[in-house]
Amino acid sequence: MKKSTLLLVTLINFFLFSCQKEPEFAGTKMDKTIFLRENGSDMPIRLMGNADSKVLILFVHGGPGEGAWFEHVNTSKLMEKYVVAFWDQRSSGTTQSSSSMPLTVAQFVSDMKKVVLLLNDKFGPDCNIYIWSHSWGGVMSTLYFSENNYPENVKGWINMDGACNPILLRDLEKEAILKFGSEEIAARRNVEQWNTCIDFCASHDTIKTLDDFFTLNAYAGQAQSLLPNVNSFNFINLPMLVNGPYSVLAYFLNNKAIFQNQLPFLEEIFLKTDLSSKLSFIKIPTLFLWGEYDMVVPLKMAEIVSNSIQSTIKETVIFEHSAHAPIASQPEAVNDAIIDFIERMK
Amino acid sequence: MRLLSLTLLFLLIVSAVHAQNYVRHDSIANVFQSTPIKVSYLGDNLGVKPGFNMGIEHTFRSIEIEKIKKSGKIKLKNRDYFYGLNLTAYQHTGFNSAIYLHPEIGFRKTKNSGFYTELSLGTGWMHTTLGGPTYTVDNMGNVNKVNAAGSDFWAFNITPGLGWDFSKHNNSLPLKYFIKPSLVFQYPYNGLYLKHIMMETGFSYSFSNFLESHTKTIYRKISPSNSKK
Repeated sequence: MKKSTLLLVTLINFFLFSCQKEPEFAGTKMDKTIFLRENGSDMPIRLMGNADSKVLILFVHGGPGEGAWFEHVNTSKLMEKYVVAFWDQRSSGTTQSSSSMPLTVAQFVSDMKKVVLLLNDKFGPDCNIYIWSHSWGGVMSTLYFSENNYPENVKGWINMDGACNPILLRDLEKEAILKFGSEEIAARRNVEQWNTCIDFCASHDTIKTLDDFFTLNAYAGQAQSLLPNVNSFNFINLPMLVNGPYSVLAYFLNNKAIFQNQLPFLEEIFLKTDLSSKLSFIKIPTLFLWGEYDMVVPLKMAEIVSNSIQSTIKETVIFEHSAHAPIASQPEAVNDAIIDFIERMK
Repeated sequence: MRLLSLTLLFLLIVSAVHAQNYVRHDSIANVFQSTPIKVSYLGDNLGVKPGFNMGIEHTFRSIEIEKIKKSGKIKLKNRDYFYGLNLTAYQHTGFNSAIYLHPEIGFRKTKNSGFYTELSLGTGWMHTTLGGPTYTVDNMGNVNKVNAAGSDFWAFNITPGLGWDFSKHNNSLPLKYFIKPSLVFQYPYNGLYLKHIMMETGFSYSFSNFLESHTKTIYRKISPSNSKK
């Protein structure tokens, strides 16, 4: 009986800890997951691609509450040349946490700093790091770069449809709905749906509550998918969720937890965060990637941010068949634009 | 609401009439039974993330029913009430590995053919270990590795199941085969319950003389009231 107990304990230990070896941070086809444990959250960072290139791209996903890893299907060209780090932020994707502590923007930025330091430690200071942010990730990146306190080997910012100054979103979204809406109504396309969006904007001069903001945001999201020039894509790939590192229900739960338990955090981002004064401190070379028909974070945001930052290198690439997610609508073109930028930065 | 009340009243009257047409005779015995051992494949994430379950189970009350219908046809079935102890483990690459130690309680209805359905509830301790090397970074930028990084949770499961009891046809083969989907709630998780949908399939076998214990067994004979006992 004692021998069988010992055997059982040994088997369980082997089963649980067999995957805990220190990985090699090298190789042309790296595919490893490491975790950052920080302030009550265990955040996975999936490292995929060519680590021998000594170029690492840290993907800072949108949301808050989305995940990062599912974007790997759209980044195969990037992963052939560089290593891409898909980091799930706290309360997002498959990040695990038994904590229910209140979220803050400052906590997310602090997490981002630590992710960069961890990657820098593992890949070494000779590895150039690029931050590639999308949407909400643009808020975090704006704060991160405005502090000018990042390692020397962080060489550039790839800002894709970034909500860099969230206080502007309400007006910019309304403006975009009215602009595209009037064009589409004139062309007699989806007239009823566009009228609903326009009526909402007309009846809400000022957006003061989260409910109104999310209604506006939802109208902007739905409206951009009605535009004929935007390439469609599947947002959720269920087989990938089931077979991959995602726990299907954890993925949806994390997102739900933010919208159910963290309303003050969402208010902080979308109703109170004005980063106008921070933008002028940004000096990092920046590539703006924007969907021409983005109505969630409209193209005008790129113009405002580009005119405000001090970076000597700032370039903009506009994707003419994309809305808020060029990486999903035009993956090939986005991969090419990023590779072109990084190769010229070398 | 009114329709529901009328339906309930109708069912009550029908069952009362039905009960009057049959008589029930119970005899009770304490039976020594060895404890079955369960071994099964158990997969998390709709069954695709592999793991196993091992457990023991004790039937503390068994009712063996022989019902003689008015037509003279005899129907045999039994109902078992059991408790058990299970150790579940799974590995979800890139996410986590977990062990879940949980006592359970449940009941099972077995037809004479050997086909059975059951429902059990369990609760216990779940420990997860992250699916990759884990690090902390302090404010000075120093990176430290955390060995066997994991977390402890309370968990609760609801598990329906179905299976076949081969001993119904062959007394010398005390073997059951079963399939069970399981809904497991893990708490606390981001201030909410994390739900898991697990799938389990495996066998239960009673080795002779293994952890023998008493089962209160009721032999119940139900026959039409006009038939001779």
